[in-house]
Amino acid sequence: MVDKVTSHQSPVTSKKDVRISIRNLNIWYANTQVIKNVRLDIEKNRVTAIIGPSGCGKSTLIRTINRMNDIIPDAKVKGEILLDGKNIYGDDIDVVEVRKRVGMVFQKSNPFPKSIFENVAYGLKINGFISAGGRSASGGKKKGQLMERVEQSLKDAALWKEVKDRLGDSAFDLSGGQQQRLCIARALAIEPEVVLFDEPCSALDPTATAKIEELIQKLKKKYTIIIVTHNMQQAARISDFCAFLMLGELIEFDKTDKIFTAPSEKVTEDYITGRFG
Amino acid sequence: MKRAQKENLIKRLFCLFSLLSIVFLLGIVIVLFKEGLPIFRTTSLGNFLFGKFWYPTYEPPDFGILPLLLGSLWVAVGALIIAVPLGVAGAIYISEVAQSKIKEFIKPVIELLAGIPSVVYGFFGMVIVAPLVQEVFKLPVGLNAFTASVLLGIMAIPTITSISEDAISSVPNSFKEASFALGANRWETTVKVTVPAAAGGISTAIILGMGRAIGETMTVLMVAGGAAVIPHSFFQPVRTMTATIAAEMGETVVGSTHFQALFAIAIILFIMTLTFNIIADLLTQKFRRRLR
Repeated sequence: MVDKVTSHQSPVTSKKDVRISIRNLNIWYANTQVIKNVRLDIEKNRVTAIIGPSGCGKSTLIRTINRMNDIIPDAKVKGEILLDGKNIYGDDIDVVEVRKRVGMVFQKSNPFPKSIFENVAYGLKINGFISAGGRSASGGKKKGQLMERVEQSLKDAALWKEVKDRLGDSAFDLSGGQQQRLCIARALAIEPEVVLFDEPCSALDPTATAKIEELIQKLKKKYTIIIVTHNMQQAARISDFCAFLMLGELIEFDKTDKIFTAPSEKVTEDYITGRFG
Repeated sequence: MKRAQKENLIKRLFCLFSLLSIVFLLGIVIVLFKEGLPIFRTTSLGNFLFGKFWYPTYEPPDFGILPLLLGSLWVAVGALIIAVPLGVAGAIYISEVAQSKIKEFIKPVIELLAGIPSVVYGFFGMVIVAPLVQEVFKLPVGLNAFTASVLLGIMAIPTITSISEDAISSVPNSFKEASFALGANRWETTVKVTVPAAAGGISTAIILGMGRAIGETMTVLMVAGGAAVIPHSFFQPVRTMTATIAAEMGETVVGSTHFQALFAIAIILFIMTLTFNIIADLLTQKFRRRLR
């Protein structure tokens, strides 16, 4: 199977459009290998979907791209992930810097138990958007800038209109879909280049899902987007490229139209037509 | 049929047992108020609470509990000043920093502190802490509010650490993940996300610790110095409400005004600890709702 993957042509046409390049990636949890020799090129300003049956390693793969797997004590990563040509698993890499450039939205919306405003402002404050000393004279200006960025992020996440009059309310007062858009706004606030979505709609109803999908379509103009999804219709609707993963191996990676109309692998076809999974 | 009867009997028996504790509590409250309230026939509530002199055996006697009330508060606040930073920092260390092996060792040890009888703390205070305090601060006596605060602080640490640790560990992992994903490091995540999210539980811990400090009797009786005067410094001997009751109850005539006054002090203590517990309970509920 490994041969098949490496022999597979990358659907990304030009080298200069590649934002992330995953090279021979292997991941183990303790002694179990969960990702096997994956190679994948992610194109700039496109939506790349990762699909596959439960337990195939989709979430593990996406969480590797901003080094969230570092938190898991037994995880071991081998291989390279190049972000704009630089290996984020290299020795001289600042993890915090990687996470600032690669934002993430999680499966279950997880706003902080703070106000709507504070949720969006959190990343900005952490990353020194407000300098520690700027309290007195420049304080007002900085606060204004912070407000501007929060507003812009909420607008980008298509949430501004719904919350502009209650920024001080608890984030928990929002509906599930609004909370997830708040999490998107929070991720966008620090102006990442890549946004990872790990099954962002799995806990949402169809209306809220539609809103998030529409939003992702808009966001790709500014960001490079990778989305893990269980929902094949969703992958077909919103992605430009689609990677099919099974048991930790990349079975097929191609333009989404191609995957859903004329997959080259039998197993891909079986999966997308619902014969298993 | 027989089986159902047996079942029924057991049910009633257990119901009776559980009711008993309520009956005891009610009994205590009734006795407390019945014996204590008559003092207000001879002393007004204002004079009782804010009277500056506690001379129960003088003729005529003075039943002003302000020195005792302040003694209790000084000692309790002093204890909190020591116990809150140590207890909360300990909780943060155990839940967020320590490796699991260290955690498995430290937590039971801290909880063991709660199991030491208070008379042992008092003894330790008289023999070791008081002479040390006397020496270090060049005082005439080492038995004072400061010494009592140190010991009560140590005694309150297990309560504060244990409850705070539970609160901090129960903060959902998803909050921490979100923080890490935004480029925060472990310290920023702990200080700006995890601890604020556990604030309800931590405040509950502090209030319960306060309740413990106010209610503690034996240790303060032994090390606080026992002077029923309004304290002006931490290095003065003080006497708390609890110590007063413990020290004087054995020597009063049952039913005398002095006897009634001691019961009235107990009523005040009861109301205070009840209030602390209710506040702690409300905070816990609010906390649960927030993290729902």
